[in-house]
Amino acid sequence: MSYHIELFHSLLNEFLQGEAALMTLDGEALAVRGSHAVTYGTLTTAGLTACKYLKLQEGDIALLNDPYSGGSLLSEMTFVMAISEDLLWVSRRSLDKSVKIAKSIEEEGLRIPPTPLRQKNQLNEMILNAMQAHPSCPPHFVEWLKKQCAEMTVQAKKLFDVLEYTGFTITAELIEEYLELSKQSASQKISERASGEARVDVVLDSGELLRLNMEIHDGRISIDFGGSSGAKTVSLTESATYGACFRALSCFYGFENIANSGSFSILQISKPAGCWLVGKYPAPTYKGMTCGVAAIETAVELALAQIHQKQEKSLTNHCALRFDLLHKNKHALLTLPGGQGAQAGKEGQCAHLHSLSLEQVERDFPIKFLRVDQRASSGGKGKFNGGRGLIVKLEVREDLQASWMTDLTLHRPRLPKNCSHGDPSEMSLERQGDHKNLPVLGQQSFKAGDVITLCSGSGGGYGKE
Amino acid sequence: MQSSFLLGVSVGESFAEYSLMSDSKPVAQKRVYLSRENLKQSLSQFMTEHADKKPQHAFISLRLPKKLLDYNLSGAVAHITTEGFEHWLDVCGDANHKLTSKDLLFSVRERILADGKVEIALQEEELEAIAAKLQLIECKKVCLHFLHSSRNPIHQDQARLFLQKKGLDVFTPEKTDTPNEVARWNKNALNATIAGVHADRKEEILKALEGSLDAGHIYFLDSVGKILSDENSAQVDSLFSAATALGLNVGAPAKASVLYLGLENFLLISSSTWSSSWNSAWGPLAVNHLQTKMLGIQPTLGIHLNEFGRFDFTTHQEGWEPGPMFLGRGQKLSLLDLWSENSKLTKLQGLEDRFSAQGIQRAKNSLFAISKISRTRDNDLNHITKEMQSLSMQRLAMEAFMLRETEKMIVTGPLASVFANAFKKDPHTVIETQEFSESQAIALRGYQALQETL
Repeated sequence: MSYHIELFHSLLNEFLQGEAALMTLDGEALAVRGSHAVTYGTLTTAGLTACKYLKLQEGDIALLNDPYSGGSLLSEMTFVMAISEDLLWVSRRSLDKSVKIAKSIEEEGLRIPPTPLRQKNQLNEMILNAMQAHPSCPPHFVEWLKKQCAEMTVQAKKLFDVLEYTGFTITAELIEEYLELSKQSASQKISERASGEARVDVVLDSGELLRLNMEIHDGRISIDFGGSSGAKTVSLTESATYGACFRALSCFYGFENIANSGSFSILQISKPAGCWLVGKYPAPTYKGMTCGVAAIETAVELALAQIHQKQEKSLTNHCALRFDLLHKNKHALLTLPGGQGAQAGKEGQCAHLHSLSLEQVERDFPIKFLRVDQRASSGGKGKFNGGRGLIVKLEVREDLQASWMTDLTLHRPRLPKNCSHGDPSEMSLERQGDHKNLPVLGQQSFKAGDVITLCSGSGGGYGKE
Repeated sequence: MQSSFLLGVSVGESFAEYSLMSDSKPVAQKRVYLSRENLKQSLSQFMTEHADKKPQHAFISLRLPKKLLDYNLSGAVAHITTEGFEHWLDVCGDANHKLTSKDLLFSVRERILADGKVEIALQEEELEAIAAKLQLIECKKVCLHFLHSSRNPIHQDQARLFLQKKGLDVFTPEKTDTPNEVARWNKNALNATIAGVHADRKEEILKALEGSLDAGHIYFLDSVGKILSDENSAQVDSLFSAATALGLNVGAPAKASVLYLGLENFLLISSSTWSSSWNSAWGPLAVNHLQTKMLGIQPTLGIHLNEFGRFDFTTHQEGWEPGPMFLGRGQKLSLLDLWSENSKLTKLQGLEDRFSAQGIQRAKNSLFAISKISRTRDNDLNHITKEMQSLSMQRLAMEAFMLRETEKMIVTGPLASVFANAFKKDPHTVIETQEFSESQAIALRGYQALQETL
């Protein structure tokens, strides 16, 4: 059968659900899938780090969430499983997410370096007990880990059943051909569009400068972050930086479905030591993994808009507003994404919310929603308007705590001439008739009767009205 | 079961199949292609042809074409919500699939709290104004979506009675324990949207069966394999009735997953795991049904050159209107065109006399044209066809093995015989080449459900 490449591609799509990667023990990424930008750089790093420090045998599972070992947020657990003598399956699964405002990564939660979770078909109870005893360990964590291990074992067996019953084999030649075709395809998609250079500066609200120099020539892209500043409160790992760049570029050029070592090879990134994109332990990474990644996505989008002037697109608001409610050991994270930028002939898509039930949140927390809608924007206007952000207005009915975070609200990067800025994210508080704006990042108690308004940013407009 | 006759009718998006059963065995069966044959006439004709086998009961599963599940095609529906949440369904939905029209969104100043207490009482004056507007624009259907109405339906009931008195068709979300208002409201909105089309389709079936059996003995099945009792939720529930009947009647006795290879869809149906929500194009919908997975490989997937410049299947289903090129009207090559000369496909009821030699030739020309720009440089049409057939069978088997819930799997449906070879190496898979398994399952499931109600 000569369509083994298509079959292999389909098998990878079926097997890799959620945030996941399949790679060889030699470090070749066969496929990375996921909806989070950092996944595209961090999963393979996690696989390699786990292999380096733990000699994984077939069936063994390692666990990590340490961003400096290839993890992302501390609430995202990365499992590395040796599913055969030469294949690694890396799967990232989420625990309850919350906003973390901390001065060091140790304050952000339980940090797990590569740890052997299952060896020789036995769960490592000693390590599980040690994790459970840690003061920052989330509730029911060990039960959750056991469940994930059991699921992964079943899924790995299914993969082998598939290979056995269909007679399909993954050979070194197949992998080589697949990666080569992926590289050619990615390179061709880049070559089909304009070449050029661009420089973009994006400044975070906390003052960090992101300077991005992009060059596109001969189907290859190089990004140099020279000139970017050191970390103040935002810090990101190298692998997460790579992932954010790759994801933004592959979505723009349309090869996000072939994320593997072949397509990775078209992108070269250089960063000066000491800048905030090369975070070092014990710098906290939550803000980097959220707002920092949004800054990279913004910078890449602007650079591409400069180079590809014919497909000019206004700026999407990449930095979501995260608002975390805390009440009696319960918390709920509301993530309000921003609107998309407009382009010639097309309005930007408005922001949407998924998986939120207002009734459920009102049952769990002493709040009352007053309004949830797409916000009326004054920015983002043009011949084609930018996508509207969201507005959530809620009334606090009993004292509660909340922490929140957003960014990219103060400094406006330079835009291409046909584009206009959208509205930034905003938060405000009404207390006993007084109205005040809240900072982009904070943690405080709210009293009964307080009315909080959360607005996520809107996308930029395109063309003159 | 007594030796009386039962009728099972499965109406899909493009095909309808009828099974007349006696003692759990089929005695007469028929499939019709709804683009070419009328549902009412074909069913009526089927009953006339078998007038000697008068059924005691008829059980129906009714799905509507996807293009009709859209407010643009199914008529205007107004939405009245709690003030501040007029656009809540739009905010939670997909930008490209909407169940609401922005001109028909209204709100009233009422509020019920999470504990069920009334904070702001509903004022009928506000409803009066809305009803007047609706009458002015001749909008007949209205959905009521009030927060926490499942905990305390006082405002919902008050508004329903008020608007019904004004002559409007009022749709309210089911009273369930589901705390997710989005899933409940979405279901209600979809029910309202398709209510008219659904009622017309239902009427056609009832008229076709007039004279053959009493209307009181015609039952529509719901998404959990029971007789439909709640008319308000009938429309969306009936979308899943056929899959649930297959899971319960084909899969459950053998404790096996069911791979249903139908002409419209390839589905993997669990025989024991229930799902309370359907992740539809409009967002989550609260529908209890047996877990059903739509496979990535489907019978009417298009064929194109992939990112590597090689032959592959698209992710878009071309559907049966106008259908594969072998039927003579379609312009786009699809997966089943690869089997246009396969005797197992050409003999299938409903299709057997519809194959067009001209259409088959055009499909071959189309394949040849694509091969000219393919990077594989293979212009041998027979070879390409065989390879693509093999790819589709392997992909089908891979997906089914990967997604099945139980090791044991039963493959059934009209296309089971065409794709049977894909499963020959798996000792846990049983091929049931019963072409009419869907309508049979509906008849048997319906009869069991009826017995349970007695």
